[in-house]
This record gives sequence, C-alpha cells and structure tokens, in this order.
Amino acid sequence: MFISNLLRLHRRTVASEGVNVGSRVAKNVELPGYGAVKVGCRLDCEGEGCPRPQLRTLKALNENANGVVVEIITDNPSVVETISSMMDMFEGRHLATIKDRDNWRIYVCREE
Amino acid sequence: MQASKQRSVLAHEGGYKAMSITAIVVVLSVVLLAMDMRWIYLLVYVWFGVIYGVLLQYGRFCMASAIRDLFAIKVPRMAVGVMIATALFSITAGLVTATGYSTFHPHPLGWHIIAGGLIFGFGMIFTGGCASGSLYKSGEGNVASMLVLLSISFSQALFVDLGSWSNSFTPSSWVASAAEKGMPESLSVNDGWFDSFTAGYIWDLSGGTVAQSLDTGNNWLDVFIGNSLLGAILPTIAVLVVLYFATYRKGYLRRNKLESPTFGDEMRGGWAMMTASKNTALAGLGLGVFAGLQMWATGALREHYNIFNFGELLQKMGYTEGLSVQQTVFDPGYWYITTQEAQLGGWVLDKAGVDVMDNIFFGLMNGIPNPLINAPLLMSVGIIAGAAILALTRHEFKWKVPNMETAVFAIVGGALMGIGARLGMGCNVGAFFAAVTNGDMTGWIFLAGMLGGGLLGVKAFTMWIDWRTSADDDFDI
Repeated sequence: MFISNLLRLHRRTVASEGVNVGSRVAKNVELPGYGAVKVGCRLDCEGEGCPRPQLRTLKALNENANGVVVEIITDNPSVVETISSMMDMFEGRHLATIKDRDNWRIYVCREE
Repeated sequence: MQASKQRSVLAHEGGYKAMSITAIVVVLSVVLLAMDMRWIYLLVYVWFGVIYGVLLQYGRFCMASAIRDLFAIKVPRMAVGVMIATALFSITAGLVTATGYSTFHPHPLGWHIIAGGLIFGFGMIFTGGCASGSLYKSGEGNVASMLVLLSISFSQALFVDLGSWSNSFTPSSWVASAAEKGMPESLSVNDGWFDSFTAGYIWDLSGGTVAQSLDTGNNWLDVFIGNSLLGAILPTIAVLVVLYFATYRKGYLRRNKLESPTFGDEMRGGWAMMTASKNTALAGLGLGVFAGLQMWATGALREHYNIFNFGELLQKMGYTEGLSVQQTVFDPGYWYITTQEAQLGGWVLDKAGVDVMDNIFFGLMNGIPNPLINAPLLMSVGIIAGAAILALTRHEFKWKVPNMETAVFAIVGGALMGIGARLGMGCNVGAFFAAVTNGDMTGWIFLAGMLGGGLLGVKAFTMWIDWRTSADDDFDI
C-alpha cells in the first residue's frame, strides 16, 4: 500500500517534471469569504520544496497583469504559510487558501 | 461538547496513526523503564525530541526558511520566530546555568566557524531545510528531507574519516602541533585531514562564554547580564530592529496608509511583525522553554547517577560496544542535531567493514554506539515522530516523492551541510541556537557565515530557476 502510493506519486512527479512557471487558464472559482474570482494562471507545485513554489509565484505575478488571479497548488505546509506573508511584502494580495484532502490551493494577485 | 470536538480532531485515519505513534513511544518507554530504570537517561532525549518535533511542525520552524525567505522573498516571519526562541532560551538556559545544571561547553573560536557556516548555509538553501527542519519535514512525509538526513549523516562520517590522500592538504604547523598532543597510536592523529585539523588546530584554540569574561564574582549576575542580556537578548533586539526596517516596515506603512509614521506607529509596526505568524512565534516560545528544561533534566540525571557522560552509564549497564577510547559517547545534554547523524553514518560504515574508530571524532570523542541505544540519535527520531504525530492529526502528512532535480539538490546540499557542520562544529542548532543562548558568541559568527552562505545560495538558486523556466519552450506566460 505504502509502496504503491510512493510509485504513484513518483509517476506523477516525473510526468510533471517539465518545469515552467505556470499554465494559462480561465476558470471561475468561488473563494470562501471573498466571492467568485476568475483565475488566470495556475501553478502546480505539488512535490516541490521551498523556495521553488515561492519563486515561481513571484515570477508568475510579475509576468501577469495586475489583478490577474494566480492559483498555486501545493502539498508543502511551509509554502502555505510563506506565500500569504510574501504578498504583504510585494504589493500583492492573498485572496484565500483552501485546504483540500491532499493539498492546498492558494489564490493571490497583484494589487490593481 | 469538548469530547466531541476532541473526537473530530483524532477520529480520522491520520488521527489513528498519530495515536499509534504516541502509543508506541509510551509502550517502549514503559518497557525500557521496566527493564532498567537507568534507561530514563536515554528516554529524556526521546521525550524532548518528540516535544521539539511537535513544536517545529506546529511553527514550521526552520532556519533555512528563515534565511532563505529573508533573501529570496523578503519575508521576515521565520527569522522573527528564531529570534524569539533565541531570546527566550537564553533566559531558561541562564536559569539552568546559574543553578549549576548546565551541560553546555563553549566552542573554540577560529576561522573554521565562519567557513563552516558559509558552507552549511549555502547547502541548506538547496535542500530546502536546515538540520532540524529536515527532521520535522521528514515527519511530514517529505522524502527529499529524508535524503538530506542520509546525506548529512554519510558526508559527515566520510569527512571526519578522510583517508591518507587528504594529508597533503594539511598545513605542517597542524601536523607538528597534533604530534605533540600525545594521542594513542590507534588514533593515528596525523593520518587524515580532519584528525590533524582537530588535534593540530582546534585544540590549540580557546573559547568561553560572556559570563566567564564578566566574572564579577556573582554567578547569577554573570549569567543573566553576560550570557542572557549581552550575549543573546540585546543582539536579538538589534537583529529584530534591522529586520523591521529592512523588510517589514515598507509593507506595514503602505497597508496602514501611514505617510509620516510616529514613534508609536513604528512600535506598533514592530509588534505587528513579531505577531504576524502566531504559530511560529508560539513555537519559538515553546522551544526556548523546553530546550532549557532538557538541559536541566539531563544535568539533574547526571548528578543523580554521578556520571559525566552517558558512556559511563552504558558501561555500568553492560553495553561497551561502540564507546570511544575514553569510554564515552556523544552526549551533549542539550538540543543537538548533526553529530548523532554522523554517528549513524559512522556506525553503518563500520558495519560495512570501514574502520572509522581510527579517527579522533569517533574514536576519541563520540564513539559509534548502536543506533538503538544512541540517545541523541533517538532524540532526532523523536523529532521525526513528534512532527509526524502533529502532521497526521492536522491532515498535513503526505508522502512527498521528490523529482530528480529536488533529489539531487537534497543529496548535494545535504553533503555540503554535513561538511559545513563538521568544520563549524555544529549546525543551526548546535553551533548557533544552543551556542548564543548560552553566552558563546561563536554562535553569532556561525550565523554570519550562514547568512553569507544563504545569500550566495539564494542567488545561485534564483539563477537556476530563471534558467530552468526560460529554457522551457512550453512556457507561455
């Protein structure tokens, strides 16, 4: 059971190994306490350790227009903590963090 | 109501696993104590390890994050937590020292500390965790962190046991000085760079605490004014002020629309920085208190059993394998990480037929006890267990398998951390945290080295990410 989990995870990480900053998406997400937003960019950071997700987030925010919502998916608890504090430093806004069963989805954008 | 809430915290698969780990620790403790009460000396290490693990995971407490976040993304959150822990541990350590239960020994002062800090700091940026951080992250199911631990263990063991080929890098002054130390022939003090470094360089240096230099005649005054206030609390406040002005202030003033802030505004800003991450700050408080309690508990047990080192107790209990030629084992009596990992590497190498007891590090000082009775190593296992208990309870445990790049960084970075830790005589915990809080100023020098190495590491890592992301053709934002 444990071994098969490891193998499944390994296959997924290998499959997503092609590194890029993020993929352009256009989907609407309902954020608790915030309302509906349109997500413009998605970063799949599962399996990645610090500081890669943080640096990719900054890069994605820089390369998108102000106000474009970036969705970060991570399974690393310390990433969850730092990304929200990081927004305070970079004129960015942390909209919400949603905990799913196996990972977190974090929503951020640059102030308009 | 409370009972139902408690049930919901633990009534899930992760909760049951967390309870099972707790039960294993409890049952093993009871069995060991039933066999021989003297195992309590070893169990104190285990129990404090579990507590450290819980606190580290709760606050996501990691020195690598502290330095990396500061340079890479200008977030002071973790650095603030580390400083809170430092200030508080200096007070609890002061109490323990003033009452005579301290187990701390100051480190000798020399260039090796800054060099070790640099190499350690550079390596830890690539591994994504410091020595203690990698332990708690292993408890969260992070396989890359487990690779880091293995790499730290074996790189240290191999580094302290460098072969004759390394002799050509040894300065002749070290060789001459090491030869004068009259060490037993079995240790071959001038065969291997690290042996000559230890006997011909380190042993000629001296170190001390601020309390020892004050020497007013009043022990309590020396310890609290010297070690705690001058050695730790004032430098900590200075670091916090620098952190506030260099990172937090700009965002705080912008968010609160303060164009010409008063002194009161600045103070409120400083407090906001300190309390920005409650988890980290609380973990810092807890670590400060328990790190002091551990020194007291071990010091009291040493007095009770009338021993200076766990090796003596092991001998009385009939365990003599793996003890050093002085019949000792590594037994710091306080929070420490890297040396016991080196012992694990050394023990495995020994079992694989490599003679590692001919060097000073293992043969004379630390020994290579069986991992099952290596008390500080079991503290590290306790940290992993404690972190796993909390992570499982909070639905944060997940087996995370690294991709090839992360795995290579973990192994190479871990090897650099191992080498840095042996040169600098400790890691972010032993050479910095436990040092500065006990009035040993070499800890701040190690931190300066770690900061320099961390800055270089962040630059190198950012360049790597830029190159990797721009080299990819599919990348389209």
